[in-house]
Amino acid sequence: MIKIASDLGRSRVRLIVNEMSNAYVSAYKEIPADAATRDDSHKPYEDFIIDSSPIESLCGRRFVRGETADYHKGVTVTADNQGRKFEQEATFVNMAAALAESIIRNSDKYPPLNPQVKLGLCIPCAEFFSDGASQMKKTLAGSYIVTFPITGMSVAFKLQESDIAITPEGVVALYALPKADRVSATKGKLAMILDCGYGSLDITLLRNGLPIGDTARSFPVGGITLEAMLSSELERSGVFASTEFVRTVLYTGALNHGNELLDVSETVNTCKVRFAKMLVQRAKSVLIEAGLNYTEVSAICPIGRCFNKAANEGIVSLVSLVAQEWGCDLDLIDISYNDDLEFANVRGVAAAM
Amino acid sequence: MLRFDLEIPKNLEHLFSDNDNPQSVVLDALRFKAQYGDSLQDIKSMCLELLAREPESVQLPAAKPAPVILPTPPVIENVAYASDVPSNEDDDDDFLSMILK
Repeated sequence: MIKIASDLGRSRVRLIVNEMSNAYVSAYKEIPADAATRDDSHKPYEDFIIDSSPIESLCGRRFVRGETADYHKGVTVTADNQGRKFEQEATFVNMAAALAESIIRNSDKYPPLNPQVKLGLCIPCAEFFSDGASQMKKTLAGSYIVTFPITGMSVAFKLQESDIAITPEGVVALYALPKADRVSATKGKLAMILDCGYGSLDITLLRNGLPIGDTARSFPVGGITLEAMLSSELERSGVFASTEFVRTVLYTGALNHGNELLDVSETVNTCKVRFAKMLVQRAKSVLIEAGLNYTEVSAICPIGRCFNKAANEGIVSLVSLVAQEWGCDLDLIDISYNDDLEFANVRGVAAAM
Repeated sequence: MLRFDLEIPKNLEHLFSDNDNPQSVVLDALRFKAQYGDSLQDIKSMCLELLAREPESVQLPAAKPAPVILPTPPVIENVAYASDVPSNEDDDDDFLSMILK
Protein backbone atom coordinates (compact mmCIF):
# COMPACT_ATOMS: atom_id res chain seq x y z
CA MET A 1 0.00 0.00 0.00
CA ILE A 2 1.29 3.43 -0.91
CA LYS A 3 0.60 6.04 1.80
CA ILE A 4 0.24 9.60 0.58
CA ALA A 5 -0.22 12.51 3.00
CA SER A 6 -1.29 15.76 1.40
CA ASP A 7 -2.05 19.38 2.12
CA LEU A 8 -3.69 21.09 -0.82
CA GLY A 9 -3.06 24.76 -0.23
CA ARG A 10 -4.17 27.68 -2.33
CA SER A 11 -0.59 28.48 -3.30
CA ARG A 12 1.12 25.10 -3.08
CA VAL A 13 0.42 21.39 -2.88
CA ARG A 14 2.50 19.68 -0.18
CA LEU A 15 2.98 15.93 -0.10
CA ILE A 16 4.73 13.38 2.06
CA VAL A 17 5.14 10.01 0.39
CA ASN A 18 7.38 7.41 1.96
CA GLU A 19 8.70 10.06 4.35
CA MET A 20 9.82 12.23 1.43
CA SER A 21 8.26 15.67 1.26
CA ASN A 22 7.54 17.54 -1.93
CA ALA A 23 5.77 20.79 -2.80
CA TYR A 24 4.75 22.50 -5.98
CA VAL A 25 2.56 25.35 -7.18
CA SER A 26 -1.12 24.48 -7.07
CA ALA A 27 -2.37 26.88 -9.75
CA TYR A 28 -2.88 25.23 -13.13
CA LYS A 29 -3.95 26.11 -16.62
CA GLU A 30 -6.47 24.20 -18.69
CA ILE A 31 -5.44 23.59 -22.29
CA PRO A 32 -7.04 21.72 -25.21
CA ALA A 33 -6.63 17.97 -24.93
CA ASP A 34 -4.94 17.89 -28.33
CA ALA A 35 -2.50 20.75 -27.69
CA ALA A 36 1.07 20.15 -28.79
CA THR A 37 3.30 18.48 -26.21
CA ARG A 38 6.66 19.92 -25.32
CA ASP A 39 9.09 17.12 -25.89
CA ASP A 40 12.05 18.97 -24.39
CA SER A 41 10.46 19.39 -20.98
CA HIS A 42 12.36 18.39 -17.86
CA LYS A 43 9.10 18.45 -15.92
CA PRO A 44 7.16 15.47 -17.30
CA TYR A 45 4.48 15.55 -14.60
CA GLU A 46 3.46 19.18 -15.12
CA ASP A 47 1.28 18.19 -18.09
CA PHE A 48 -1.54 15.75 -17.40
CA ILE A 49 -4.88 14.53 -18.72
CA ILE A 50 -7.55 13.24 -16.37
CA ASP A 51 -8.95 10.42 -18.48
CA SER A 52 -11.17 9.06 -15.77
CA SER A 53 -12.31 10.45 -12.42
CA PRO A 54 -15.24 10.07 -10.01
CA ILE A 55 -15.98 13.68 -10.93
CA GLU A 56 -17.37 13.29 -14.42
CA SER A 57 -16.89 16.93 -15.36
CA LEU A 58 -13.10 16.48 -15.14
CA CYS A 59 -12.91 13.50 -17.49
CA GLY A 60 -11.01 14.12 -20.73
CA ARG A 61 -9.61 17.48 -19.62
CA ARG A 62 -5.95 18.40 -19.83
CA PHE A 63 -4.04 20.69 -17.48
CA VAL A 64 -0.56 22.12 -17.16
CA ARG A 65 1.11 23.79 -14.23
CA GLY A 66 4.40 25.31 -13.16
CA GLU A 67 7.02 26.06 -15.77
CA THR A 68 5.18 24.04 -18.41
CA ALA A 69 2.16 26.33 -18.14
CA ASP A 70 4.28 29.19 -19.45
CA TYR A 71 4.47 27.47 -22.83
CA HIS A 72 0.73 27.09 -23.31
CA LYS A 73 -2.20 29.40 -23.79
CA GLY A 74 -5.13 28.72 -21.52
CA VAL A 75 -7.12 29.93 -18.57
CA THR A 76 -5.27 29.89 -15.25
CA VAL A 77 -7.38 28.46 -12.47
CA THR A 78 -6.71 28.31 -8.77
CA ALA A 79 -8.77 27.61 -5.68
CA ASP A 80 -10.52 30.61 -4.21
CA ASN A 81 -10.97 31.39 -0.53
CA GLN A 82 -14.72 31.69 -0.60
CA GLY A 83 -16.11 28.25 -1.35
CA ARG A 84 -15.54 25.12 0.71
CA LYS A 85 -12.68 22.84 -0.26
CA PHE A 86 -14.77 19.91 -1.44
CA GLU A 87 -16.80 22.24 -3.64
CA GLN A 88 -13.83 23.47 -5.66
CA GLU A 89 -12.72 21.88 -8.90
CA ALA A 90 -9.12 22.94 -8.24
CA THR A 91 -9.01 20.63 -5.21
CA PHE A 92 -9.78 17.56 -7.26
CA VAL A 93 -7.60 18.44 -10.24
CA ASN A 94 -4.63 18.87 -7.92
CA MET A 95 -5.45 15.72 -5.98
CA ALA A 96 -5.74 13.54 -9.09
CA ALA A 97 -2.41 14.84 -10.39
CA ALA A 98 -0.67 14.55 -7.03
CA LEU A 99 -1.79 10.96 -6.51
CA ALA A 100 -0.87 9.89 -10.04
CA GLU A 101 2.54 11.54 -9.86
CA SER A 102 3.25 10.02 -6.44
CA ILE A 103 2.36 6.55 -7.72
CA ILE A 104 4.48 6.86 -10.84
CA ARG A 105 7.46 8.21 -8.92
CA ASN A 106 7.26 5.21 -6.62
CA SER A 107 6.63 2.67 -9.35
CA ASP A 108 9.78 0.81 -8.32
CA LYS A 109 8.04 -0.08 -5.06
CA TYR A 110 4.40 -0.27 -6.11
CA PRO A 111 2.74 -1.44 -9.32
CA PRO A 112 1.81 1.58 -11.49
CA LEU A 113 -1.51 -0.01 -12.32
CA ASN A 114 -4.10 -0.30 -9.56
CA PRO A 115 -1.89 -0.03 -6.48
CA GLN A 116 -3.69 0.18 -3.16
CA VAL A 117 -3.62 3.81 -2.11
CA LYS A 118 -4.06 5.18 1.40
CA LEU A 119 -4.69 8.92 1.24
CA GLY A 120 -4.53 11.44 4.06
CA LEU A 121 -5.53 15.05 3.63
CA CYS A 122 -6.55 18.01 5.70
CA ILE A 123 -9.43 20.43 5.29
CA PRO A 124 -10.24 23.66 7.12
CA CYS A 125 -11.34 23.09 10.72
CA ALA A 126 -14.69 24.75 10.22
CA GLU A 127 -15.42 22.25 7.41
CA PHE A 128 -14.00 19.28 9.31
CA PHE A 129 -16.18 19.87 12.35
CA SER A 130 -19.29 20.20 10.19
CA ASP A 131 -19.98 17.77 7.34
CA GLY A 132 -16.89 18.54 5.24
CA ALA A 133 -15.07 15.27 5.90
CA SER A 134 -17.83 12.98 4.72
CA GLN A 135 -18.50 15.16 1.68
CA MET A 136 -14.83 15.11 0.75
CA LYS A 137 -14.61 11.33 1.07
CA LYS A 138 -17.69 10.76 -1.04
CA THR A 139 -16.41 13.07 -3.76
CA LEU A 140 -12.90 11.62 -3.87
CA ALA A 141 -13.72 7.93 -3.74
CA GLY A 142 -13.73 6.10 -7.07
CA SER A 143 -11.57 5.11 -10.03
CA TYR A 144 -8.99 7.32 -11.70
CA ILE A 145 -6.87 7.19 -14.83
CA VAL A 146 -4.36 10.00 -15.37
CA THR A 147 -2.07 10.26 -18.40
CA PHE A 148 1.13 12.30 -18.64
CA PRO A 149 1.45 13.22 -22.34
CA ILE A 150 5.14 14.13 -22.12
CA THR A 151 6.10 10.60 -21.11
CA GLY A 152 3.06 8.87 -22.57
CA MET A 153 2.59 7.02 -19.27
CA SER A 154 -0.77 6.44 -17.63
CA VAL A 155 -1.60 5.67 -14.03
CA ALA A 156 -4.75 3.89 -12.91
CA PHE A 157 -5.85 3.61 -9.31
CA LYS A 158 -8.92 3.34 -7.17
CA LEU A 159 -9.62 5.20 -3.95
CA GLN A 160 -11.85 3.51 -1.40
CA GLU A 161 -13.69 5.68 1.10
CA SER A 162 -12.25 3.52 3.87
CA ASP A 163 -8.71 4.37 2.67
CA ILE A 164 -9.22 8.11 2.90
CA ALA A 165 -8.30 9.82 6.17
CA ILE A 166 -9.52 13.38 6.68
CA THR A 167 -8.03 15.67 9.33
CA PRO A 168 -8.53 19.30 10.36
CA GLU A 169 -5.91 21.81 9.19
CA GLY A 170 -4.00 23.45 11.98
CA VAL A 171 -5.04 21.08 14.75
CA VAL A 172 -3.54 18.10 12.95
CA ALA A 173 -0.15 19.82 12.88
CA LEU A 174 0.03 19.36 16.65
CA TYR A 175 -0.07 15.62 16.14
CA ALA A 176 3.40 15.74 14.62
CA LEU A 177 4.75 16.88 17.98
CA PRO A 178 6.00 14.21 20.35
CA LYS A 179 3.10 13.31 22.60
CA ALA A 180 4.73 14.56 25.76
CA ASP A 181 5.44 17.96 24.18
CA ARG A 182 1.93 18.33 22.87
CA VAL A 183 0.35 17.44 26.17
CA SER A 184 2.64 19.67 28.15
CA ALA A 185 2.08 22.60 25.79
CA THR A 186 -1.70 22.44 25.92
CA LYS A 187 -2.75 20.73 29.14
CA GLY A 188 -4.85 22.90 31.42
CA LYS A 189 -4.75 25.79 28.94
CA LEU A 190 -6.96 27.57 26.49
CA ALA A 191 -4.77 27.52 23.38
CA MET A 192 -5.31 29.03 19.97
CA ILE A 193 -4.11 27.76 16.62
CA LEU A 194 -3.61 30.42 13.97
CA ASP A 195 -3.20 28.65 10.64
CA CYS A 196 -2.51 31.36 8.09
CA GLY A 197 -2.48 30.01 4.55
CA TYR A 198 -2.15 31.91 1.32
CA GLY A 199 -5.85 32.56 0.89
CA SER A 200 -7.41 31.97 4.28
CA LEU A 201 -6.89 32.15 8.01
CA ASP A 202 -8.19 29.27 10.10
CA ILE A 203 -8.56 29.75 13.81
CA THR A 204 -9.24 26.91 16.23
CA LEU A 205 -9.37 26.89 20.02
CA LEU A 206 -8.17 24.03 22.16
CA ARG A 207 -9.14 23.58 25.77
CA ASN A 208 -7.04 21.24 27.83
CA GLY A 209 -5.44 19.87 24.67
CA LEU A 210 -8.62 19.05 22.77
CA PRO A 211 -10.12 21.10 19.95
CA ILE A 212 -13.38 22.93 20.58
CA GLY A 213 -14.73 22.08 17.15
CA ASP A 214 -17.71 24.36 17.02
CA THR A 215 -15.56 27.45 17.61
CA ALA A 216 -13.42 26.88 14.50
CA ARG A 217 -13.67 29.70 12.01
CA SER A 218 -12.19 30.49 8.62
CA PHE A 219 -11.56 33.99 7.24
CA PRO A 220 -10.58 35.09 3.73
CA VAL A 221 -7.34 36.64 4.94
CA GLY A 222 -3.90 35.21 4.28
CA GLY A 223 -0.50 35.58 2.72
CA ILE A 224 -2.14 37.07 -0.33
CA THR A 225 -3.39 39.92 1.87
CA LEU A 226 0.10 40.62 3.15
CA GLU A 227 1.47 40.54 -0.40
CA ALA A 228 -1.20 42.99 -1.52
CA MET A 229 -0.33 45.36 1.34
CA LEU A 230 3.34 45.34 0.42
CA SER A 231 2.65 45.59 -3.29
CA SER A 232 0.52 48.66 -2.63
CA GLU A 233 3.23 50.24 -0.45
CA LEU A 234 5.86 49.61 -3.12
CA GLU A 235 3.64 51.16 -5.78
CA ARG A 236 3.50 54.33 -3.69
CA SER A 237 7.26 54.42 -4.10
CA GLY A 238 6.96 53.95 -7.84
CA VAL A 239 7.89 50.27 -7.84
CA PHE A 240 5.51 47.99 -9.71
CA ALA A 241 6.39 44.44 -8.83
CA SER A 242 5.29 40.93 -9.77
CA THR A 243 3.99 38.55 -7.12
CA GLU A 244 7.25 36.61 -7.07
CA PHE A 245 9.19 39.83 -6.64
CA VAL A 246 6.97 40.90 -3.73
CA ARG A 247 7.51 37.53 -2.05
CA THR A 248 11.26 37.98 -2.34
CA VAL A 249 11.03 41.43 -0.79
CA LEU A 250 8.93 40.06 2.09
CA TYR A 251 11.61 37.49 2.80
CA THR A 252 14.70 39.62 2.24
CA GLY A 253 13.52 43.14 3.04
CA ALA A 254 15.56 44.30 0.08
CA LEU A 255 14.67 45.79 -3.23
CA ASN A 256 16.75 45.28 -6.35
CA HIS A 257 15.82 48.44 -8.22
CA GLY A 258 17.87 48.42 -11.37
CA ASN A 259 21.41 48.17 -10.09
CA GLU A 260 20.51 50.04 -6.96
CA LEU A 261 19.99 48.05 -3.80
CA LEU A 262 17.49 49.46 -1.36
CA ASP A 263 16.72 48.30 2.15
CA VAL A 264 12.94 48.34 2.55
CA SER A 265 12.79 46.50 5.86
CA GLU A 266 10.85 49.36 7.40
CA THR A 267 8.17 49.13 4.71
CA VAL A 268 7.92 45.37 5.20
CA ASN A 269 7.66 45.84 8.96
CA THR A 270 4.93 48.44 8.58
CA CYS A 271 2.90 46.03 6.46
CA LYS A 272 3.49 43.18 8.89
CA VAL A 273 2.24 45.32 11.78
CA ARG A 274 -0.97 46.05 9.87
CA PHE A 275 -1.31 42.39 8.99
CA ALA A 276 -0.72 41.29 12.60
CA LYS A 277 -3.48 43.67 13.77
CA MET A 278 -5.79 42.10 11.19
CA LEU A 279 -5.01 38.57 12.40
CA VAL A 280 -5.52 39.49 16.03
CA GLN A 281 -8.78 41.27 15.25
CA ARG A 282 -10.10 38.10 13.61
CA ALA A 283 -8.82 35.94 16.48
CA LYS A 284 -10.50 38.08 19.11
CA SER A 285 -13.77 37.98 17.17
CA VAL A 286 -13.67 34.18 17.38
CA LEU A 287 -13.26 34.38 21.13
CA ILE A 288 -16.08 36.87 21.52
CA GLU A 289 -18.34 34.65 19.45
CA ALA A 290 -17.43 31.72 21.71
CA GLY A 291 -18.24 33.77 24.81
CA LEU A 292 -14.60 33.85 25.93
CA ASN A 293 -12.23 36.64 26.92
CA TYR A 294 -8.97 36.98 25.06
CA THR A 295 -7.06 37.14 28.35
CA GLU A 296 -8.00 33.50 28.93
CA VAL A 297 -5.83 32.40 26.00
CA SER A 298 -2.44 31.43 27.34
CA ALA A 299 -0.79 29.66 24.39
CA ILE A 300 -0.66 30.26 20.68
CA CYS A 301 0.41 27.97 17.86
CA PRO A 302 1.25 29.75 14.59
CA ILE A 303 1.22 27.72 11.36
CA GLY A 304 1.98 28.75 7.79
CA ARG A 305 4.73 30.33 5.75
CA CYS A 306 3.69 33.83 6.90
CA PHE A 307 5.10 33.03 10.32
CA ASN A 308 8.48 31.80 9.11
CA LYS A 309 11.47 33.86 10.11
CA ALA A 310 12.73 36.20 7.40
CA ALA A 311 16.27 36.28 6.05
CA ASN A 312 16.88 39.91 6.91
CA GLU A 313 17.35 40.46 10.60
CA GLY A 314 15.79 43.89 10.16
CA ILE A 315 12.40 42.30 9.57
CA VAL A 316 10.38 41.71 12.70
CA SER A 317 8.83 38.27 13.16
CA LEU A 318 5.10 38.13 12.54
CA VAL A 319 4.79 35.83 15.56
CA SER A 320 6.24 38.54 17.79
CA LEU A 321 3.98 41.19 16.30
CA VAL A 322 0.88 39.08 16.87
CA ALA A 323 1.95 38.44 20.45
CA GLN A 324 2.58 42.15 20.98
CA GLU A 325 -0.82 43.05 19.57
CA TRP A 326 -2.47 40.43 21.75
CA GLY A 327 -1.70 42.49 24.79
CA CYS A 328 -0.86 39.83 27.36
CA ASP A 329 1.70 37.07 27.70
CA LEU A 330 1.38 34.03 25.51
CA ASP A 331 3.31 30.79 25.47
CA LEU A 332 4.45 29.75 22.02
CA ILE A 333 3.69 26.24 20.85
CA ASP A 334 6.47 25.91 18.33
CA ILE A 335 6.10 23.25 15.67
CA SER A 336 8.51 24.90 13.26
CA TYR A 337 10.96 22.12 12.52
CA ASN A 338 13.95 23.87 10.97
CA ASP A 339 12.02 27.13 10.90
CA ASP A 340 9.76 25.83 8.14
CA LEU A 341 6.10 26.12 9.05
CA GLU A 342 4.93 25.39 5.54
CA PHE A 343 4.94 21.62 6.02
CA ALA A 344 3.41 21.66 9.51
CA ASN A 345 0.00 20.44 8.40
CA VAL A 346 1.16 17.71 6.05
CA ARG A 347 3.58 16.41 8.70
CA GLY A 348 0.63 16.10 11.07
CA VAL A 349 -1.46 14.32 8.42
CA ALA A 350 1.36 11.84 7.82
CA ALA A 351 1.59 11.14 11.54
CA ALA A 352 -2.14 10.75 12.06
CA MET A 353 -3.16 8.63 9.06
CA MET B 1 26.90 39.30 13.07
CA LEU B 2 25.35 40.74 9.95
CA ARG B 3 23.92 38.52 7.31
CA PHE B 4 22.54 38.65 3.83
CA ASP B 5 21.17 36.03 1.54
CA LEU B 6 21.83 35.62 -2.14
CA GLU B 7 19.67 33.75 -4.57
CA ILE B 8 22.09 32.67 -7.24
CA PRO B 9 21.26 30.56 -10.28
CA LYS B 10 23.04 27.23 -10.53
CA ASN B 11 25.14 28.35 -13.46
CA LEU B 12 26.69 31.13 -11.40
CA GLU B 13 27.38 29.20 -8.23
CA HIS B 14 30.96 28.44 -9.15
CA LEU B 15 31.75 32.14 -9.11
CA PHE B 16 31.16 32.06 -5.39
CA SER B 17 32.42 28.68 -4.36
CA ASP B 18 35.74 29.26 -6.16
CA ASN B 19 36.30 32.61 -4.57
CA ASP B 20 39.53 32.94 -2.65
CA ASN B 21 38.03 34.78 0.22
CA PRO B 22 34.64 33.26 0.78
CA GLN B 23 34.61 33.81 4.53
CA SER B 24 31.81 31.49 5.40
CA VAL B 25 29.72 30.50 2.44
CA VAL B 26 27.15 27.78 2.90
CA LEU B 27 25.16 26.30 0.09
CA ASP B 28 21.60 25.73 1.18
CA ALA B 29 19.70 24.25 -1.72
CA LEU B 30 19.64 27.04 -4.31
CA ARG B 31 20.47 29.73 -1.83
CA PHE B 32 23.84 30.85 -0.60
CA LYS B 33 23.85 32.30 2.83
CA ALA B 34 26.89 34.43 3.23
CA GLN B 35 27.66 35.48 6.75
CA TYR B 36 30.34 38.03 7.12
CA GLY B 37 32.12 40.14 9.65
CA ASP B 38 34.44 42.76 8.24
CA SER B 39 34.41 41.63 4.64
CA LEU B 40 31.05 43.06 3.69
CA GLN B 41 32.56 45.31 1.07
CA ASP B 42 34.40 42.45 -0.66
CA ILE B 43 31.33 40.31 -0.99
CA LYS B 44 29.12 43.19 -1.97
CA SER B 45 31.56 44.27 -4.68
CA MET B 46 31.59 40.76 -6.03
CA CYS B 47 27.82 40.70 -6.14
CA LEU B 48 27.58 44.06 -7.82
CA GLU B 49 29.99 42.85 -10.46
CA LEU B 50 27.73 39.87 -11.03
CA LEU B 51 24.73 42.12 -11.18
CA ALA B 52 26.37 44.24 -13.83
CA ARG B 53 27.03 41.16 -15.93
CA GLU B 54 23.81 39.27 -15.23
CA PRO B 55 21.35 41.91 -14.07
CA GLU B 56 18.33 39.67 -14.46
CA SER B 57 19.66 36.62 -12.73
CA VAL B 58 20.95 37.76 -9.39
CA GLN B 59 18.91 38.94 -6.45
CA LEU B 60 21.03 40.83 -3.99
CA PRO B 61 19.29 41.96 -0.86
CA ALA B 62 20.68 45.06 0.69
CA ALA B 63 23.05 44.26 3.50
CA LYS B 64 23.13 47.23 5.71
CA PRO B 65 22.80 46.92 9.45
CA ALA B 66 19.19 47.91 9.16
CA PRO B 67 17.81 50.17 11.83
CA VAL B 68 14.85 48.21 13.10
CA ILE B 69 11.98 50.57 13.54
CA LEU B 70 10.11 48.25 15.81
CA PRO B 71 11.52 46.70 18.91
CA THR B 72 11.21 42.95 18.80
CA PRO B 73 8.76 42.46 21.60
CA PRO B 74 9.89 39.75 24.02
CA VAL B 75 6.31 38.89 24.80
CA ILE B 76 6.46 35.20 24.00
CA GLU B 77 7.90 33.13 26.74
CA ASN B 78 8.12 29.51 27.71
CA VAL B 79 8.59 28.09 24.24
CA ALA B 80 7.18 24.62 24.35
CA TYR B 81 9.91 22.67 22.62
CA ALA B 82 10.56 19.26 23.41
CA SER B 83 12.60 16.68 24.85
CA ASP B 84 12.87 16.53 28.57
CA VAL B 85 9.18 16.83 29.28
CA PRO B 86 8.16 13.54 30.89
CA SER B 87 5.76 11.43 28.93
CA ASN B 88 2.28 12.10 30.15
CA GLU B 89 -0.68 9.85 30.82
CA ASP B 90 -2.89 8.52 28.11
CA ASP B 91 -5.02 11.63 28.04
CA ASP B 92 -4.26 12.28 24.37
CA ASP B 93 -6.03 9.13 23.20
CA ASP B 94 -9.06 11.29 22.62
CA PHE B 95 -7.02 13.67 20.52
CA LEU B 96 -6.52 11.36 17.56
CA SER B 97 -10.13 10.27 17.60
CA MET B 98 -11.16 13.93 17.41
CA ILE B 99 -8.92 14.80 14.48
CA LEU B 100 -9.34 11.77 12.25
CA LYS B 101 -12.39 10.89 10.19
